[in-house]
Amino acid sequence: MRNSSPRNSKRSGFAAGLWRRVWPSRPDPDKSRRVARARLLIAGVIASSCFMGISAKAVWLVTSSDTLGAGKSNAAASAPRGAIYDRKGRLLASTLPMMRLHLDPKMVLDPYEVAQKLAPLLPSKSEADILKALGRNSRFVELDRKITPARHAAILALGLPGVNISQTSLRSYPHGAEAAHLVGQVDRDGRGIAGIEKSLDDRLSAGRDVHLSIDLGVQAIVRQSLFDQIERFEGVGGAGLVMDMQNGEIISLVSLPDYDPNHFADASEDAVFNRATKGVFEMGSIFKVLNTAIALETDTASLGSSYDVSKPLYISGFPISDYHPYDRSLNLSEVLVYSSNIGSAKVAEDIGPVLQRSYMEKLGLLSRPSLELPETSQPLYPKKWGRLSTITISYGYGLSVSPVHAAGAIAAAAGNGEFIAPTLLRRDPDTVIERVRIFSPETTKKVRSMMRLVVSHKDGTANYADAPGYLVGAKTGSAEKLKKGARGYNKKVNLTSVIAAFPIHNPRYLVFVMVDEPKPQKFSYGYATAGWVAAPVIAEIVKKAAPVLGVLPMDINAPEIRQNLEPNLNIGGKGAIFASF
Amino acid sequence: MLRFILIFCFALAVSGSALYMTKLSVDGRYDRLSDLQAEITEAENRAIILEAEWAYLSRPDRLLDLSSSLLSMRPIKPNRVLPLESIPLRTPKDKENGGDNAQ
Repeated sequence: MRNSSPRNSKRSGFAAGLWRRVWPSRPDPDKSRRVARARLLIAGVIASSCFMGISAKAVWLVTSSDTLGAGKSNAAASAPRGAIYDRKGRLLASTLPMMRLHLDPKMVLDPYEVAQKLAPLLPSKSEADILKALGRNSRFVELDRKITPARHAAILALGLPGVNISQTSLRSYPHGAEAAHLVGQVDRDGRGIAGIEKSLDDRLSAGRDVHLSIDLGVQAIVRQSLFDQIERFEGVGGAGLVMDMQNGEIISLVSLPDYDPNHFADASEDAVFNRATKGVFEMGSIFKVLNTAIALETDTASLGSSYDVSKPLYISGFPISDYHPYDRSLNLSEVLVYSSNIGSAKVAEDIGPVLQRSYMEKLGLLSRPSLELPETSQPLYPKKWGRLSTITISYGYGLSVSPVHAAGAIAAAAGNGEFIAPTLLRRDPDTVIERVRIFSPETTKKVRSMMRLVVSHKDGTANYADAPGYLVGAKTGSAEKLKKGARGYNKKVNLTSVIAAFPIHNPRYLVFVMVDEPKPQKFSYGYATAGWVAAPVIAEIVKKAAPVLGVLPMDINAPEIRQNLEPNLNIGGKGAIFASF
Repeated sequence: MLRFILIFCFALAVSGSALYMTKLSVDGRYDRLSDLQAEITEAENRAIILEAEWAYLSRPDRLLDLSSSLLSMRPIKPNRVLPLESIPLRTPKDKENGGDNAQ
């Protein structure tokens, strides 16, 4: 018997039992074969299963397209913020790839070594700053957001553990303060917080570019001309605007003082304030253009209407007088050309509060403008629009609007009579523009002719606004400002403004200039009125910007100019002279 | 039966190898694609930086300073500018005269 072999017989008890289990006797060869086959089968199934599992995983790995999908989603998530361009494709704002330096204090072996080696490479940080940063209880301490490629290479060459560099982005404004109030600002996370950056944040965040209606060349001309004049007259600020009257595109929009958006943190509150769109002011006599246009349009006055301005007018105890008093009656043209408050008040009395208010509403002067900027304001107007309000509003007091409001409204009166909401976005030529007819072409022809005489007649108030060859028409406004913390107006603190259009026989561009609180100067013979302060800026802007805008100078005596102006105006008892004095 | 299994296994091995080779080739192409994408991104970044630099260097105030210090050009007076239509064109008679002169 096999199981009684001497080898087995030597073992006993537990050991023998274990041995039999491991090495059982096989007295029956057939049974042994069946057992072996069964074992083989089981081993085969297990091995096959393993291989099938491995194969299935291999096939899954081969056929899966995860890598492609991941790449795509990363690309979409990291689309850079869209750029902002002017109307001619000049870059105003873009997002630049940038390297930033950050520390992981827990990984730093020797803080003193890191501080000592990094400090010479970081101009804005001292060794003490770096040591302080390393002392923070954080795994991520940002040290510098603007690492240049050269410094990047030098820092990598130091090979310091815990000193890391990663990619980030920086919003850059290459033209600095040139269009700061328009373009606006983003926060540290790249979200728009002011200007176009805020109002069109959705579009820019999606990586889409924005083309503004601004012409950077004209913007620079307006900004520099206005800046120089504010300096000369020691003003506290100002605003300038150029608008295409045929489609409402704003070609230039300046507010001074301004700031460099690349260093937004250093900007003062006054510099950040947008006087051109957010500030509302009593504009003064430039409103007489609207008063005249409304009177002509509603037939409450004609060119032959006459108004006695020899005595001051008293309304509810308030005296209304003229800066240049005339001891006679003035016709409608003279009221505008001489800028008579008494005359305007009488014209407005004939118009009446209801008609005046309805026109102001239609001209957008009672509501927030639909401009693509978050920095706009609701105008301030009297709740009770009575006789006194009607009279004061006729010459620009009692209704406070922003320069953009004034430009939109006067563009209708001095243009072809249609109101077009001003826009900061470049319009495609085939875009349908919403136009609201407010004044007839006959009315605007008369108003334009009067505006030309304000510049060309020797007694007009805007002689200094003339730019020979470009046929400028204008109206000045010098408004006293309200006393700070007290009732009434301060006669010594003025807001001077001029609104102009050129070429006035077929106006294409509207120019607005405002200088806030100019001081009388020796060279201006002690005057600080709009004719002295703002009018020369208009001439400067027109002379320099007209060639940029493609407006050719013209012969003042050309027949089409006379055809498009009203020759039957009578100033000082003489017929209209549109050519320069 | 065994033959069928052998043929099946052989076909499986061949198609598996083909699949693997295809996978390798696709991987290679993906690598190339990501290299190209990285190159494009780098080129785009360079273009963005150059565009910003160009905008910075062509600031109107800088151009004004440069042109006033380096060029002798000054704004043209309005009375020196005429539209093209105001320049009289040569009449056929002028042309004939011109031709005669040339001969």
